[in-house]
Amino acid sequence: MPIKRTLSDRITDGINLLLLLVLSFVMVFPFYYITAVSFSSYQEYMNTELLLFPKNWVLDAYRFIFDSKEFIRSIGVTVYITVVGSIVSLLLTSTMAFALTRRLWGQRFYLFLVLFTFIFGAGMIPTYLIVKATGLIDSYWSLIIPDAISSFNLIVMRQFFMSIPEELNEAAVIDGANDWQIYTRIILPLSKPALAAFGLFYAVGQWNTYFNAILYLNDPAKWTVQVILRQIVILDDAANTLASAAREAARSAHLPPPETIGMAAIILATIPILIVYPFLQKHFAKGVMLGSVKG
Amino acid sequence: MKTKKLATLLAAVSIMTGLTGCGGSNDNNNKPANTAEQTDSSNTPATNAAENEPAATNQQPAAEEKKNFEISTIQGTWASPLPDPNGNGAKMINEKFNVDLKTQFVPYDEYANKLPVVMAAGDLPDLIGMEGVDANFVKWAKQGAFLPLNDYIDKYDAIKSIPKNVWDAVTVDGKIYAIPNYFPSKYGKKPIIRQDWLNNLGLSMPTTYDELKKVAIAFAKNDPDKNGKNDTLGLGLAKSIVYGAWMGAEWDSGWYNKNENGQLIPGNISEGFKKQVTLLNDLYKEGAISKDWAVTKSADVRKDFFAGKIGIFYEQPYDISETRFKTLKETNPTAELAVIPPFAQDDGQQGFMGLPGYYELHSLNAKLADDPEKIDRILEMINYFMTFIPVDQRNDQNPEYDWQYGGVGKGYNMENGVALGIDGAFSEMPTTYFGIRYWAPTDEDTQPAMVLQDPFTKGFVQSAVDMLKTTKTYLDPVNRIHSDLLYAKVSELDQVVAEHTTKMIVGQESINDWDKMVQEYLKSGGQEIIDQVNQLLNDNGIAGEWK
Repeated sequence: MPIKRTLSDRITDGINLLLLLVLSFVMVFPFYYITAVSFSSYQEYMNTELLLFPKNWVLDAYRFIFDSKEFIRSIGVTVYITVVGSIVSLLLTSTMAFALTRRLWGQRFYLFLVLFTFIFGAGMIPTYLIVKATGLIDSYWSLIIPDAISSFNLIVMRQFFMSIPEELNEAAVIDGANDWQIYTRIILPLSKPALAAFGLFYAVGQWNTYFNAILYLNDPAKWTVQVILRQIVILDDAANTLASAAREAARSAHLPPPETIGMAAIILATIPILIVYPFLQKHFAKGVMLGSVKG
Repeated sequence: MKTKKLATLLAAVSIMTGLTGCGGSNDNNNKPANTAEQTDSSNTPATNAAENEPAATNQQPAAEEKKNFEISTIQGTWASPLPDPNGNGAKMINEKFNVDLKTQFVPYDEYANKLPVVMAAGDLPDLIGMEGVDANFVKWAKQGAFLPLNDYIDKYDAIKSIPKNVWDAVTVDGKIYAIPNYFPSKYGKKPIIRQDWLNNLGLSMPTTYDELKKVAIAFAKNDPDKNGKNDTLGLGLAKSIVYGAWMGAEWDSGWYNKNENGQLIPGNISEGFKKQVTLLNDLYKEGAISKDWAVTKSADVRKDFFAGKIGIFYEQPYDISETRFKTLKETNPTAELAVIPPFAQDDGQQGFMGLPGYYELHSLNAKLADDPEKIDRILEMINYFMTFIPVDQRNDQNPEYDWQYGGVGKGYNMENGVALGIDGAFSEMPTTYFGIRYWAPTDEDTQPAMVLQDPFTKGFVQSAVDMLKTTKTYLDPVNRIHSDLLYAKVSELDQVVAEHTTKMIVGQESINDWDKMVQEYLKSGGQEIIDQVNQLLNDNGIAGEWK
């Protein structure tokens, strides 16, 4: 029997709905606009103030992109590091977070180390030197290992593990489970919402890998889709200095193809990661622990 | 209940678009380049060559008279897609010069971040490309990262032909540290106007700021495109006052004007620039420039110009893409473009501010010093790619051109007697791998209109070139010296000036406060910059000159 809704409930619902509508419009509209432009002809784009409904849909921009080997290859690279990178990141983050929830000798010291990196970074050059010294230059692992664990995610995940009742672990220990079994059989299954959320964060982070790829990979064949995308959608900001005048003129020779192609490239680079979300959403539901402990 | 479902869906949609929209990347080492500078000051270019193994390991049979060298390079590029390091063009170079070329290209977007890192890590290749002379170039040159080239260049005809004012730009403490790449100083951005609009309104080409003001206002108010709608603007202006309305060197932002002590001063605090700001303020009041120009990107303003909504904008007659021009002509069949000739200045001169005369440069690694043969091989290649081929000989009949561009049908096609590069065939062309341009004897020799196909674009470029042929160009002397104060401080100061002048144009600040702004500039370090720049100019006997 449904609970009767009062007038004030309805008003609240209405206001919520309105706010969410506005919010989602603000977020969805840029995507819509980019999509519209990517399907329009360059001429129409040039001559329309704000293009919302292309008069004739053309696929030239997409054809151009699919004709270039680089884009397809780089999508492959990005998918690879996203999948592998997210798995590695989740594995490392969750094991470390789990270890830090146990009664561990020197736990506070390790936590301090984690928090320290939270505030202080080594800087670009020292990091590069470490990546170089460990022989990761020009290998995909240079995009996966250096940023594998985010201290923030680690700390939040640790908090999540701590919220799992200690009695469960004790029960498992009585049944003869060791730490590894507790981790795999109790903690992980109960932490699906957290794993899904952080998995998504890591995946989006890896999907957007750009700077590290340029820094650590000398072979353009290994670059990620964001690098190729940036090449297609060259940022066009003229600064009013004479030094940049030559630059601007020189750039024109390699002018990026019309804006429509840039928009199409953005769509193609964004869609895959958008598709991941619905599959993770079902794990966000909490409540799996209800009834696991008799209070 | 339905509303609840809808709300959940909306929330989900918002979250996912928001999430992907913001590049929440976990790159916490994506710091600005200045952190790199702090760290690498203690880190002089390392001297252990990581990759430079002597080429003796892959000795050719004795029949080869030339020794084989492995030559590594790193350089930035705008090209998309990037050239493939193992492409056909690279192989052709390897055969012709008996080298083993290891190239590395980095998108210019991030090259400024990557190069200092490579430098600090001691991985510097044999040949290093840079976009221009900046504080880093001077610092590295002083630290001994690059090879001084003074003793080598006289052997090479093309390299030798580089004029002194360009050599000065890459000379630090009397030593030449790089080989600059040719770029015409004449063919930078120039003010262009819709000649057909002038004709429609019965106006003549403006020759003074007063006339320019009248024309721009008429363009905004009198329906110059005769479409019966009030949808045009006089002049295209974008944020940070790009490009403005500089109709000659006196009103431009380069160093042309002098203060009362006879010192050269930067353009943006000069009386000439004040005149430009006054004009823009008048145009803003009259509605001849866009109301929200101060927050508009230059790319958007350009889009409006080529959509036929703006009467005066800026374009260069060199290295342009025909797409935009074609679009303009297709949608506005009557469109005619012309360059506005420079206005006569108060000092009797007349002409535009020129570009530095080069764009991009290549330095050699200092570690090559004890391998003169290898130095010669590299310079021989650079010289070869720099040797000018007249425009009318750039076709399949010329064996050198044909080789440099990868052969007809592979790297380029002949159309109407003109060689046109095949899209995306960079990797087929040997010339790609060094990124060297022909050094033209004069700017006119580049004949930029020759290679264009679209008649409208060709016509515009040809008319611009013809007009500029008889127009003087001012060479800014500051391009030829290296003032560390200028490198360190000027962009910050310029930003403050840009903010003030922006406010003056939109009327939030009075133009009467101009002198106050100049004083502020001078007090916050501007005067020291001016003193140092003028000191350097005097010491080196360099002055601004008209070409």
